[in-house]
Amino acid sequence: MQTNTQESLTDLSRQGAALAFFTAYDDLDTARMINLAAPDATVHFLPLGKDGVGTFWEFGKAVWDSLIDCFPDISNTVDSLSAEGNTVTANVSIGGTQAKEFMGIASKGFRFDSDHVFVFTFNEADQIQSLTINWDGASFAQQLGA
Amino acid sequence: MHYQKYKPAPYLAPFVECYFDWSTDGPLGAPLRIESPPTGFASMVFTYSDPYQVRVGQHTTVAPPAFLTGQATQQYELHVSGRIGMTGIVFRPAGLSTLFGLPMHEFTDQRLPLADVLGTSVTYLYEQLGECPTSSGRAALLEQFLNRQFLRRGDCFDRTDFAANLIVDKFGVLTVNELLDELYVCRRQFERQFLQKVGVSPKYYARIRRVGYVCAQLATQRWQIHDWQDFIFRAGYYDQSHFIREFTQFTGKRPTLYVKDNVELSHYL
Repeated sequence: MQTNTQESLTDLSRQGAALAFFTAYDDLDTARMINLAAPDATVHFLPLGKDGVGTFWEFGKAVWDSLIDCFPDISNTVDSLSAEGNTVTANVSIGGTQAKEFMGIASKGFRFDSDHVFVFTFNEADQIQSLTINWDGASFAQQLGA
Repeated sequence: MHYQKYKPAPYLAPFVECYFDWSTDGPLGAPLRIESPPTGFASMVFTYSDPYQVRVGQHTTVAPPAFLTGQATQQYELHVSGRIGMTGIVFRPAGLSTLFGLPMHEFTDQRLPLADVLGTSVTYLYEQLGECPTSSGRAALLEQFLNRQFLRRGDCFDRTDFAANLIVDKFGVLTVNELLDELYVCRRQFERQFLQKVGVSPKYYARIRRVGYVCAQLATQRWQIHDWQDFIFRAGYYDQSHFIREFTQFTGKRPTLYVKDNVELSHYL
């Protein structure tokens, strides 16, 4: 089989970029998170529907800042990463304890632990061009006592 | 058909599960399709006879003649025809990273040509394996190759190797908290190092190992299970629905269908 070495090596650096995103998230450093994305990159938090779509740098940062503010001990564990073409899919466990109201859910001090799927697409400069994030929104709300 | 496993030297045993050699004396009468669930082991594979295809999900590719593969998180199929001849090294979960310094999260579900990863030095090994007439001779060549690498890097066995091997030895039936108690490390640091050296998180790896062990047990018992309740409980699952959910996620099939398919396959072997 003729294997395209160039493509393989590009896949590797993109998985590294995805991992850097989660390390920054774990460090609660949203500036580092968004700097991995292109200026016109988009993000879609799927369970939020149409309200969950926006720019990576502004809307995404606002959501992640809010999450970190409302769940000060929020942390993630990357379960696995896989690359295919310009897409990297990450299975990630995220958990945190609620300290403030978050998107209409009043804080009862409960903790959530939830499996998330992040699908990154990268541009030719290996920057994140789009990100979709999916999780079980009903289970998330239920765990927080909503 | 000949399938042989060889144990590594004791000083390599923390990093290497076994060497294997699979061959036929002549061409197969008919093409063979072999399902393989995630096993929990990474490997280097060298084909010295006819090429074969690997199917993962909807994608089918021809396996490179010499490749490295990290952790598999889903079932794959081998489609072999003609004359079989392949040999290789099955690594313990963190062994490839420890011996070669590779970031294993980048090899999960991948089959990358060895020369792309380790450089052209493996080309000579590949040629030697192709010329060697015996399976034991090929296993000896693979061990020499690892010996040189072991001497070059020194014994770098660390707590991640220990933890990953413990998950293997306990067939995935333990929690991350139990591991942390054993290791005296913070969870975050441990999980990052584990991802780097094994390719998946410790919790996810334990799930892979559990399913891999279940499938190995099913094969050992020729897919004839008389007491499923007992079998499920011994494999570390809370109940039947937990078992079915986990099994289906990693193999892509419900257990009943998996068993049925394999019983049918066993008639042909």
